[in-house]
Parts: sequence; C-alpha cells; structure tokens
Amino acid sequence: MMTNVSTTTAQQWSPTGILSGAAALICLIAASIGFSMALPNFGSPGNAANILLQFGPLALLALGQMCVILVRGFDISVGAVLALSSVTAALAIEQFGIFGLIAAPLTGLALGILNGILVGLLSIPPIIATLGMLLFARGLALLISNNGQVVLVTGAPQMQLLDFSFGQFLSIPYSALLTFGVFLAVAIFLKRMRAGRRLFLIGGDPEAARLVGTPVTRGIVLAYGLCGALAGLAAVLILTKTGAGLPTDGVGMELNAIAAAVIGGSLLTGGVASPLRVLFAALFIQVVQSGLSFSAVSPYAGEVVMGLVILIAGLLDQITRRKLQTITMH
Amino acid sequence: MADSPGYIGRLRMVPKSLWVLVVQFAVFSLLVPNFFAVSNFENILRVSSILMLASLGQAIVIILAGVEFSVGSAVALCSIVAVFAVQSVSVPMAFAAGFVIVLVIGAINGTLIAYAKLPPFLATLAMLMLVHGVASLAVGGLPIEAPVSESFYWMGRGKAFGIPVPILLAAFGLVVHYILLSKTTFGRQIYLVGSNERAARLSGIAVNRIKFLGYVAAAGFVAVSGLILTSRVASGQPNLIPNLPFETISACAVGGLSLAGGRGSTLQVLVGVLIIAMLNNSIVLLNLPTAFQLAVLGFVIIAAVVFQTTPDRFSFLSMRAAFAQKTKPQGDA
Repeated sequence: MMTNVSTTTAQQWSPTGILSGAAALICLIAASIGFSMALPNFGSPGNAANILLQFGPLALLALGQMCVILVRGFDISVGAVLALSSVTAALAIEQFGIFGLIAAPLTGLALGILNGILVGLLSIPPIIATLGMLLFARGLALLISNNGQVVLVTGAPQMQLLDFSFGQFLSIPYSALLTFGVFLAVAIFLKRMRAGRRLFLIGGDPEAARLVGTPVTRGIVLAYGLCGALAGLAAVLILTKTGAGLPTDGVGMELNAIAAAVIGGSLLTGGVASPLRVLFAALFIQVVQSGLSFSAVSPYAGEVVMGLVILIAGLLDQITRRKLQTITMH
Repeated sequence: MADSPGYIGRLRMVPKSLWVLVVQFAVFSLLVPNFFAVSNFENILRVSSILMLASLGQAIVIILAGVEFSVGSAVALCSIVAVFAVQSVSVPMAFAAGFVIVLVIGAINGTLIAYAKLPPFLATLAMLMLVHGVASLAVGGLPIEAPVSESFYWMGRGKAFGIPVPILLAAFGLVVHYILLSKTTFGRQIYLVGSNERAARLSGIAVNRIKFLGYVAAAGFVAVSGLILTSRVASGQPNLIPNLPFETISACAVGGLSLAGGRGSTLQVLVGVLIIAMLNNSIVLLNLPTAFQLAVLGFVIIAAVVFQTTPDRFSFLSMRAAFAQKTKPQGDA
C-alpha cells in the first residue's frame, strides 16, 4: 500500500513525473500540429474522423495491455487473440445471425482467463504463457479458417456490420464512441471499484497485497481476462470495418499495444495505470501512422519511427523510475 | 535419498527435457511413417541447424535474465546486406558484412539494456520493429535475389567431408557455446549476473560490461544462423523468418532454461531444439497443415514449462536438484 501511494504522489509532483504524465498528450498535440502544417489535407475534419475510425482496435488492445502491465505482466498474444476472435465471431454470425458477434469478446475473455491461470496460478513467466497462447491462437485461427483464408460475413449481417461502421453521432464514428465508452468503463472500474483498486495494490507490491489478504491470483486472472476480452472487442471493431474474420490480421499489433501502454505512462514494474493517458498514446500512434501514410514516405518508415518512439518512451519510463527511487528513499 | 550419489545421483544431472526427447523419439519412430530413416535424421539436423545456432544465442541472453525478440529482423537484415554486398565484393566479404551487421544490432541491444537500463523485452521489441523497418526500406519491401554462384550456396546447401555444412556449423557452434559458458571466466560470470545481479556487482564483476558482451556474443551465433539461411534461400528478404524469436525462446523454454535467468546448459538448448525440430518434421511427414505446427508448438511450450517447473513430481529426475548441485559453489540461494 505504501509503495502504491508514494508512487502516485511522486508521479504527480516530481517535475519528470509531470513531464511523463503529460508525455502522451504532448506527443499527440505535437504530432497533430506537425503533420497538419507539413501536409495540406491532414488537418481536415474528414481525416480527423478517419483517424477516429481507425484507432479503436489499437486503443482497446493498449487498454488491455495496460491492465496486465499494471499487475507486472504483459501479454504478447493479443494480436493473435484478436485474429482468432474475429474468425470465431465471423463463423458464429454465419450460424446465428448478427448476435454471433458476441463470440468475439467471449473468445477473447476465455483465452485471456487461460493466460491469467497460467501466469497467476501456475506461475509461468508471462512471456512463455502468452507466447504459447500467441502460437496456439494463431495456429487455431489459421486452422478453423481453412488455412488462413478470410472468413466473409454475407447477407443481412454484413449490411448491419457496415451500417455500424459508417454510423456517426455528431460526426464521431460509432466505433470511436464505443471505444471511448469502454475506456470510461475501465477507468471507473480501476479507480472506483474494489476489484479494480486491488489491481494497483497487487502491481505495486504483490507480497504486501498477499499479506493483507488480497486475492492476488484472482486479481491477475482478472487482469488477463480483461485484456483478452478487450482484444475480443477490438476484433468486433475489425469485423464491423471489414465485414470479415481475418485469421492473419493483428500480426505485430501486440508491439504497438505495448508501445501505446508504455507511452501512456504505464511503468513496466507495475502498479501504475492511467486509461486517459493510454487513450492519448493510442491516438498519437494512429496520428503518426496516418501522417506517414499521408505523406509519400514509404510505409516501412512508420516501423522505424515506431521503434524509435518505443525506445524513447522506454527511456522516459526509466528516468521516471530512477527519480521515483530517489524520491521514495528520502 | 536426496543426496545419495551414484546411479540415481547421476540421473539427476540429466536434464528433464532429455527424457522427453527420448520418449518423443521412440513414439515418433513407431508411429510416424518414414520418420525412422537416416535420410530423415539428416534432414532434421540440416533444417534445425538454423534454429540451433539462433537458439544458442538466445540462450546466452536468457541466462543473463534477458530475452531477445529482434533475432528475426536481424537475420532478415543480414540476408539483405549480404545479397547487396555480393553484387560488388566477393562472397566471403559479403558474408562478413552480413555477420557484422548482426553484431552491430547485438551491440545496440546490449547498449540499450546494459547501459541505458531498458527492460530487455521492450528494447528488443523496439529493435524488432526498427530493424524490420530498415530492412524493408532498403529493398522496398520485396525480396532481392542473389546472383547464382556455387560459393554463395555452399554454406547453406554444400557438403564437407560428406556432411552438410549447416550441420557442421551447428556442431561447431554447440562446442563453442559449451566452452564459452562452462569453461571460461566470462561464461561463469554470465551465470552469476543472470542469477543475482546485485551479488555479481558486489563481488566486483563489471555487470554492465558482461551484459553488453553477452548480447554481442549472442548476436555472433545468430549471425551464423542468418548466413546459413541467406545462403540456402539465396535471396535477401525483409520477412525472411519472422517467427524465429518465438521459436528460439520456445526451444530454450522446452529445453528447460529458466526464463528467470542464471540457469541452463548447452545440452538443454540442443535437446529443446531437437524436440521442436522433430515435432515440426513429423507434422510435415504426417501431411498436416503447417498451421498445426503453430498450435502444437504453443501447447508444447506451456506443457513443457509446467512439466519442468512442477517440483518433485518425478523426484529422482528432478532438474532442480541437479542445478542445486551445479550452482552450489556460487552460493546461489
């Protein structure tokens, strides 16, 4: 409990804490202004809506990643889980109509809980557990989709999916509204509800958490389950956008998700999480990718930029942590 | 019984995973058609030599309590650099260029992790993207072909003394790896840094330098595996082998290396690689879809780690006891 409290206050009050606290927002604003000035049509409302339409899946994956990083883990299976969820949902929609969409979050939740059991109960290192899940989910997605072929949703459900994708409220796409809603729900859960608050305690100091009687294993399973379910929700957004289950989609998404979580201020040592900052970070990554595809630069330059951004975010994270150590020692 | 020497005691020293390999070999020999044949064994060894050398590198990093995700991208860039270079210089020089570029990537990883103190998985994930981006930019995302030449193919497809060159290189790599880790001061320091960094620092070991050199040494093994693959496919490809980091980590985990660092032997890497290679080979022989490889591999990794970390279920084979004996002089708790 002590570490948790001091972490939060130190984060808020130290100069570097404030800097890294606003880092995601600063990056987002800087990138938006920079690209708008450099590229003529980048700042148009149409492109802004386009970015909002596209950032959902990454944002949801990053939010899930934030939850597992909060309890000192991480999950490299989210991209594969997303792919498998989109395939199972597409197959379910063929069988049961549009309500088959629910299969996506359910698949994600099940695989996430499995990850949580492997990590929390069987004490397998997160890297091995989620790596195994990555290979397993990717292999299964390829197997049930006739060796990697796109599973098209046909007929009336396809129209319903695309209607959702094109729908807007106050010129904000439905998918973005859904994303914002999920972020709000997770934020309320983490900051206001007992089970959510416990995750901070578990991540801040698992030993202390155990000593005061917090169900640590249950908390870890919950965090991974949430991460998986969010990957399933991201698959829903992919389905509405493309109208198809994509067994080969999501490769490398886990990297961007981890990047967004780290840029969004999650410390890899656990115990810190801020949904709002992760939202800014996900928007930032989408702005960068959109900007790079807008300019005539090769799309591969985006990967180089993202790699550099992750390294810089990691260095910031490192500096913050060192400052925290000196603050808490005094 | 716990400390009784002799037959049982010697059995304890054998990695648990070796028994898995023996059982797997027996079962596959009986059940998988065409598995038990000298030509198939040669095939398994030849195909697995790439995974073997890369896993030997991965093992050094894992013993240092790290992990290396950028090996796939490094190998891809290696192939591109070598194929570009061979258009203007001789084949050995081109391969040397490919070798050096992987060492450079290893040195960058080592600097980021040892000196800038980035978490290994974050640093190497970032390098995975960065290097893949650079490799794709260099060739515009498309493969480039190497000019046809016998000397370019030799490393991946040639034979020396009647044995395929990749197998010889893998065997050589195993010997070098064993000597490096078990017989040199540097190797023993790697174990100490990996098992207890603080103790290592307090006992006067230059921890940062050992870590840095560990990543460079690992890159050396990866570079050889990259050159074999480059020679075999005779082209430079940005997406040459994207699953390599996952497969090498899997091989180490299946072999019984602790991801927490400080433990593991060359023999375990060999066993882990052979288990995975035999598995992949059998899936091909049984005509199952390749997606099956992924799903089965995922299952096997988790099962292997659960099996090996469950203490004392097979008490007389317990790997932990073997390690407790091995690491006793270092005072590892």
